Amino acid sequence: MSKAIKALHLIGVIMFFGSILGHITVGLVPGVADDPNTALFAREAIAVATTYLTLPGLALALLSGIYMAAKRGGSVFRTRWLMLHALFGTVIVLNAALVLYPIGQELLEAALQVAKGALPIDQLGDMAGREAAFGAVNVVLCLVMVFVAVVKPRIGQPKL
Amino acid sequence: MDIYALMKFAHIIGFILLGAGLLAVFISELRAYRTKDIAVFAEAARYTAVFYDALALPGAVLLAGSGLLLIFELDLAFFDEPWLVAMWGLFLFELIEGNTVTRIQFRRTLKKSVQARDQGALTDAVREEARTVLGQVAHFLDVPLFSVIVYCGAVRPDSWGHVVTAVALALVVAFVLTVAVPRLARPGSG
Repeated sequence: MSKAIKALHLIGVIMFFGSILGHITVGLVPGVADDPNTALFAREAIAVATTYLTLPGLALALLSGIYMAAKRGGSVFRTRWLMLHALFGTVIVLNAALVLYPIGQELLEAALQVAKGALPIDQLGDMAGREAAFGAVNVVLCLVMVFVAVVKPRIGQPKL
Repeated sequence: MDIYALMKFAHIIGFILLGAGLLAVFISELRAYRTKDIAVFAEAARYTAVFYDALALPGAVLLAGSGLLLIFELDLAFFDEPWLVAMWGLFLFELIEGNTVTRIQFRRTLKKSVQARDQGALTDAVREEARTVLGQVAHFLDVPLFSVIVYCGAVRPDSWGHVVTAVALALVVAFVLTVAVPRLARPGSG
């Protein structure tokens, strides 16, 4: 059972982290920065991926992670790598929910306006800059979080 | 820090990259199935090609390299453990299938979609010409078989019964997706 939950946790991480890498890849497609229709298609692709991959992946990773931590009981708080893992996870969730998701919604709305000719495309670029900065923070945090989970550093604790 | 931990980290990053590519392709193709707009249809084909080359391919290379090193590092025999046979066997199958059927398919889809966009209409004939049945089967096999590889890596089932059941389940899911997605997705709009 616990191994199956671990597999679900891994699938959740793949969906969540993988979709972020997908969002970055979409941003590299030629025409996204200077063609209104390409920009709109890209924002729609990101919105669809957020609905079907990012949010369900985050929920799956979070719930399975909480379940595995709960199964360990009080030892969770004495295991430093796990506390670090949970701390990074919390920051990633907060960044995604409070910053990146709202920016994504704003960018989709702005891309619609740009495609209709109601907004200059430069404005989309300015907003995308904020998303790129906070998105980069999440990518680095995800990498560190996976690294911590794999390596399980002792961080000053004696080897068990 | 031991070399095993670093290889395992690389292996998991490989999984994340390959999974990212396959899932992004799935979403991109879903948009192509759902749309009535020829421009979206052609753009989705371009994104499918980009996701394969930018995410799935580097992920597969990292996964294969780190997986091979892990087998040697852990001194595992290729045919001793059912989960290990399933992991490299399914990966090899996906690699060969992905670089033959799937690659030919998405290049064809891209070419036909761009031609159709230039002619300006998205008809049922254009849809059928852009995606062959074999190509669709190969496409819808990707995510279920990848899930079995993840399952084998995380759970490490030690009986052939579990592995065969997982593969059979993946084939059923792939069959259902192949039959259902193109039909159910079509009435909507992209």
